Amino acid sequence: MNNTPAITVQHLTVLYGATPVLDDISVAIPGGVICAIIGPNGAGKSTFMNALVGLVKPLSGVITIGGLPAPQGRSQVAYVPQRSSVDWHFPISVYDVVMMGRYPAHGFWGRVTKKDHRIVKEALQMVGMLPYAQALIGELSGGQQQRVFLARALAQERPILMLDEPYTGLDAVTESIYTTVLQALRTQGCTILLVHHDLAAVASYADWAILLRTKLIASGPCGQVTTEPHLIDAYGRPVLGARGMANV
Amino acid sequence: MNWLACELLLIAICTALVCVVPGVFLVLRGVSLMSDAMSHALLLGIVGMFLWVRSLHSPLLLVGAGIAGFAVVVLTEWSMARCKLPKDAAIGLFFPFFFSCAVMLITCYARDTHLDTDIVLLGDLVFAPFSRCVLGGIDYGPTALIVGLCMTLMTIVTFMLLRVRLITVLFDPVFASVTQARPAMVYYGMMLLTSMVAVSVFSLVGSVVVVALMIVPAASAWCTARSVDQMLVHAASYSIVAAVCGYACAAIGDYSIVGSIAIWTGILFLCVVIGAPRTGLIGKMWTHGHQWLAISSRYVKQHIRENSGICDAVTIRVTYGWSLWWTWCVLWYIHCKTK
Amino acid sequence: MCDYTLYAALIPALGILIIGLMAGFVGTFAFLKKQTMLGDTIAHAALPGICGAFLFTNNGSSMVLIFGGFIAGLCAVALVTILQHYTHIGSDAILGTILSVFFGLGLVLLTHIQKLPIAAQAVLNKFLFGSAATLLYEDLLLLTIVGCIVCVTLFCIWHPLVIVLFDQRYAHTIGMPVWVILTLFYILLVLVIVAGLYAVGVVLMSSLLVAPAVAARALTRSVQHMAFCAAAWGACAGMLGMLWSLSAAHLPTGPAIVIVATGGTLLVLAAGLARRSVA
Repeated sequence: MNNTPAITVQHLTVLYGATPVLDDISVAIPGGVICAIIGPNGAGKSTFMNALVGLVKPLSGVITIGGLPAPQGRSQVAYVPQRSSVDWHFPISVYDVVMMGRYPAHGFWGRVTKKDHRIVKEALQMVGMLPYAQALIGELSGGQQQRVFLARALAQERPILMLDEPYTGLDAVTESIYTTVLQALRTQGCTILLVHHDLAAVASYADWAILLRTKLIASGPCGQVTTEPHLIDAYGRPVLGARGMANV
Repeated sequence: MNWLACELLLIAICTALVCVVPGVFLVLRGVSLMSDAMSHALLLGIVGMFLWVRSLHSPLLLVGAGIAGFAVVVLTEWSMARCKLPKDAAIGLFFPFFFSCAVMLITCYARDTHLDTDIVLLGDLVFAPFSRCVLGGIDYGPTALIVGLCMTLMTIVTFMLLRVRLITVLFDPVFASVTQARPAMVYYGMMLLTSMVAVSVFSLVGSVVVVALMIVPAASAWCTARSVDQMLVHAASYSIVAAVCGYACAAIGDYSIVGSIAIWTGILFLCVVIGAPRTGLIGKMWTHGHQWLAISSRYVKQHIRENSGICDAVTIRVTYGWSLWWTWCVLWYIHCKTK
Repeated sequence: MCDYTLYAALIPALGILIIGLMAGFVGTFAFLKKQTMLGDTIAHAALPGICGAFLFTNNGSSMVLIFGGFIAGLCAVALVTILQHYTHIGSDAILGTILSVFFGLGLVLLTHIQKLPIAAQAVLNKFLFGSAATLLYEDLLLLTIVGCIVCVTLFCIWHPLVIVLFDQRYAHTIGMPVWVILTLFYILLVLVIVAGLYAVGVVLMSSLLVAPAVAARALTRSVQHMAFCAAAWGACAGMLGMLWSLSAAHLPTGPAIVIVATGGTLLVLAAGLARRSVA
């Protein structure tokens, strides 16, 4: 874990129409951690990430990424979107999807080089999708598609990785591949931000947590955030019982 | 305004009203351009029937038209389900084929008849009052008006009968199929009704303005209504206003009535999109703007409290990442509120 | 005499070839963007532009009419984009609205033209069904220039466009000028459609965008192959349709081309279905 914050957010407010989804969020995320963004439905978790990557325009907020103001700092971010934003019947192979991650490196009108091919193959190898390189994206299962998107983000070779609900609807194999890859990236010094619903598993994969419910409830190391008072503030009732299992 | 003009106006209003129920259904179902597809495809049905019965006045022509219109819907749905085509490509694949076949058949086998392809696109509203419905020696009025009134009644009755199922199917087809609301039957039933309406209307206004009469008032009503019933009422109102204003302008300026009515549906649509109280652009800017200013001023007041009552516009701008313009708007808003 | 007939058939044939190629390329991208009906909307919306250009300049040359149609098409696309962005109305309803209202405006302008002592019917017929068989040398020159512009621009923005069409949100996050690319694409789409109106007319132009793309999608596995396959099929269907219409007197070219294009596409789809049910 570095001491210099990788991402700082000050006074971030996002409204959808007239409704505040995020209200005056100020938080600093250190470098080299896996940070989970947690909270109940409608808390603004995905909106928080969308604001960081520039997909929504906030009402107010100063965001710095890697020490640079947001528009320049975003060149250090690789983003893995939620599954729903893509057309699965698009005639494109797995290899070409991952190659999209290389375009920002040499400009969109530049040529693809041997280095790009090498990096794409390495990214596919890392997520275990190299045998499927020539398969069409629509021929894959949900977990395999999600792995391809992770490979695309890995191919970008950026120091900050943001994933929007990466574990939703995944099979066990893909989940374990994801966790392995993210931990390997963390060891290399990447900062990883992810939105996740599963409160019980937070401590097992994340070091840092941000608990949101439109406002910021708590942020910091996982153990300090997932305490009962904070969780009651966020969810309205105790949600983690003894031994950290979710209260059904 | 003479009697002929009155009848023409009544026919125009009636034609607009017939299209309301099918239009609302198509718009809510997300297949608005099926009206365009149907109204072009039905020429093939007319030509096919004509080549069979060899008479331009047989009612079978209209039956053929209805069948062709319905057939294009069935083929489109089939290609979406079996060939996995996207909706827009499925709609755009079949109707030009039908229309081209019709034009080819006319050119090859019906060149000397009155089947004029221009009529399909332009309509023939102006001559509608001259075709009278005479039964037993009594003139009941223009055929178009009688047919229009009957069709309007039929659409209203169909809607009343299918109302609950229709709303369930439109909102959530999966839920509908699970609860046996029979979405397929409702969908194809409504498409059959739409086809019949298209057949009865296209000879008056042409294939393209059918789309205007069906879709545009329904789209306008979507912005102002809060329920399907309200949507029908609003769509009917916009249709009537468009028909009356369109007719009036066309009569004054002496140009195409049909085109004028289409333009007026568009004008009303634009007015609704911009000016509707809750959902219009101006309304949204007003409510959203108020809320944004309120929230921003809350932050500024909190900032002033934390900074011992000092209010420095530059510091506020930097702290919250606002543009100069917005900072001044917020400060002006606070100033107005505290006066 | 033989040379003259050959020459008279050659110009329309080349014109249709260019239009078929352009429609195949651009139609592929419109298909992938799921906006092929936007092509139909632009085709109908071009009518007031064409009539307006005719009335304004009293000049019926193709250059003027295409320019008028181009401006009207651009306005239509701009309005569709703005309405999609700022209202919750479904995009199909927006397309239907713009299509029919613009066409209504065109009808009104047409009645103005019909009052003037000019052969207004010719304008209308040209618009409705195209005039492929009577293309002149100047028209062919114009089509060639348009075709070159479209192809060169498309090849320049090919990769960025594929990224934008596949995943627009991701394209935003990697800093791509998404709106610039989409605007360029829409301009190309309007150009192709307005130029194609000349060959096949308004009702049938959307078919030239859709049918080759659908056939190509069923036969290929990548965007490059799909685009070239669609362009080839568009050009072939154009030539075959033209040959068919020349083979007998009075056969209209536009409908012939559409029947060939759609018929071939339906055969491809049927073959695909048969193969899937056997396998």
